[in-house]
Amino acid sequence: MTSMPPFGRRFVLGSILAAGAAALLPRTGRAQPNRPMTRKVPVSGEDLPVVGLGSWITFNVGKDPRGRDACAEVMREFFAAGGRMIDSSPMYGSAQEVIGHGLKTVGGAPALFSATKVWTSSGAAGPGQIEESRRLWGVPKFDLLQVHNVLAWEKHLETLFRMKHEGCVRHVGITTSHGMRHADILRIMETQAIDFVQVTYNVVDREVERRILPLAAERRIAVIINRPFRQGELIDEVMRHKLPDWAAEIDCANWAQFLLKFIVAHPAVTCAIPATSRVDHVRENMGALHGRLPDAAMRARMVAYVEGL
Amino acid sequence: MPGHVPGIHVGHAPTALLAFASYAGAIRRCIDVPFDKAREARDKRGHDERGASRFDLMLQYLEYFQYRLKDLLHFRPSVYYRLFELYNADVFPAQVAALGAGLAILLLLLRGGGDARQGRIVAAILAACWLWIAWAFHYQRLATIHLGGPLIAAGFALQGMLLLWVAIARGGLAFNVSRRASDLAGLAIFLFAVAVQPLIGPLAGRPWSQAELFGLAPDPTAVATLGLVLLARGRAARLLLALPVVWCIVQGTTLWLLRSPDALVLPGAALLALAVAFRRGGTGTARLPGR
Ligand SMILES: NC(=O)c1ccc[n+]([C@@H]2O[C@H](COP(=O)([O-])OP(=O)(O)OC[C@H]3O[C@@H](n4cnc5c(N)ncnc54)[C@H](OP(=O)(O)O)[C@@H]3O)[C@@H](O)[C@H]2O)c1
Repeated sequence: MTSMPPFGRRFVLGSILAAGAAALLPRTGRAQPNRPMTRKVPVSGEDLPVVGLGSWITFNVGKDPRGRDACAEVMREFFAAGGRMIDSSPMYGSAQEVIGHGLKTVGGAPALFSATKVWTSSGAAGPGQIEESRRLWGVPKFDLLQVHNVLAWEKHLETLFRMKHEGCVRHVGITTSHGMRHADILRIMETQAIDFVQVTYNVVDREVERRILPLAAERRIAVIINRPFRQGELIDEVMRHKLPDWAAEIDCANWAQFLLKFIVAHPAVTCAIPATSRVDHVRENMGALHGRLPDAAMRARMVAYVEGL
Repeated sequence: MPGHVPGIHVGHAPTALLAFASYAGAIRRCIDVPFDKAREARDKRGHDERGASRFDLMLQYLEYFQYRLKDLLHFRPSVYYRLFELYNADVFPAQVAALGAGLAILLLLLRGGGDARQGRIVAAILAACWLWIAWAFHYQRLATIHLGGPLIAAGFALQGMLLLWVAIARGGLAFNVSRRASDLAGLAIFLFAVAVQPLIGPLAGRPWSQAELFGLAPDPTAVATLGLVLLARGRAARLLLALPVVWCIVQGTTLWLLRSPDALVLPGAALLALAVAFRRGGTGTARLPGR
């Protein structure tokens, strides 16, 4: 298993600090029997379940009625399990249209926290693209609009802040992934009044632990975690091995929950957004909303275990 | 998946860029090690993410490139092949016409005689196939899952127009099939595209309903065109090789990224066609007939 930052003193130190912060978390940040675990969005105080739903590739099924209905079933299961945040982008082919179809099929989803992105190098094209996304989703307005991959961020943030001021969107954010453009992300987090930041974090890609997660906690910015399973590579890899017996100590019944609980146990993380095309997988993933979370020592053990596979 | 290179949207960028992706595996292997070393060095000297140095930027771009190629594709193989299933059902019984077109071309070729009308008809049939695929498959169907769909459709339409121009203004493709090695290779490639290629999917375990037929599906049509262009006399006819060859590389890469077992078929056909065309190049055959 390859790892980005080396597992060592820095990680243990970070984990101890994280555990200290976890002790200070509001009650909603803890596992409660039968209630999905949530975290507060710092700026609005809104409770969000710590597992959301991504839509990259998995929801790009075009006009295929069978594929669309399968995605709608995934969404139905997601909402039934207490899910709220669905994340998409105009870059994801037909995913937004498929989400719109899913929302209609499940008969509306009052709990939905709709998160999409603006993805164009032209600032002027931003509002039109956002409106088209809104039409595809079939929602009155988005809960969160993010600048996708820092693309033309100055121009788009201007639009998004104006929209927020006018009440046309509830939160504003920025995204990156694969550990890229972290310098820009940090600069934006330091200088702009963004509500959300979306980055990659998982048991093997832990670069964000150094600066981004601490800065998000300091600046009260909610954090969405993408690629929790490294787009499937990580979970496919670990699934070749037996889940350690001690995973039961943090109420993990499968690898998906093991990987997700590692992520959402970080106190600066608001939610992780695994993508799936399968109802059984969404069920497994949503299982991470329940039971105990790992503490610092356990998280260090999880890292060591996965890296040793 | 991050979707752009600075200033350019990958989604709207020439899909021909995908051609480079065929080297992704090799590039990745080459840069993985230096990349990790460089990152280690950066970590050692205490990286300040706020003041990204040129070195850091270089790292970022390397990293960016490392992921970009794989991330160009944003649909699953099952979704891609299901497009053919729905398309085949929608256009039925056009399959009969497509098979008829393949057969008609074969008969015209075998009749021989270098008759101009024969060459016009073949070029016109091929033009119709490319234009139809541009519209009905790439623009109307592929574009629903592939951001590069409209661009690919434009490429296919361009080849269709070129063929139409050859059919109308240049007197068609001139055939005079002989037992020369290059002719036999052209004929074999054409027959392979019409009779064998549609079977590859089902043999690889995909359902018959997803079969890709010459005249309706892009891959066998591109390969058949390679074969026919090799059979045609005239250097200028070889201009018609360019787009099918590009398609074979682009699509071969796509299928390779989709982990399709038949990913090598198209690049293999393109290589063979190019080798034959270049080998024959020295023999100095005539121009297109007509003008
Ligand atoms: N720059 C950005 O803004 C950015 C970049 C990357 C990602 N994102 C967002 O983050 C989301 C998540 O990232 P991602 O989609 O790249 O990767 P991911 O969520 O890490 O992995 C998705 C893959 O994991 C598999 N999977 C999901 N649950 C599973 C389970 N319980 N057991 C086994 N396999 C499972 C899925 O396959 P199945 O379908 O078979 O379940 C899918 O192939 C994206 O969908 C997107 O919304 C945003």
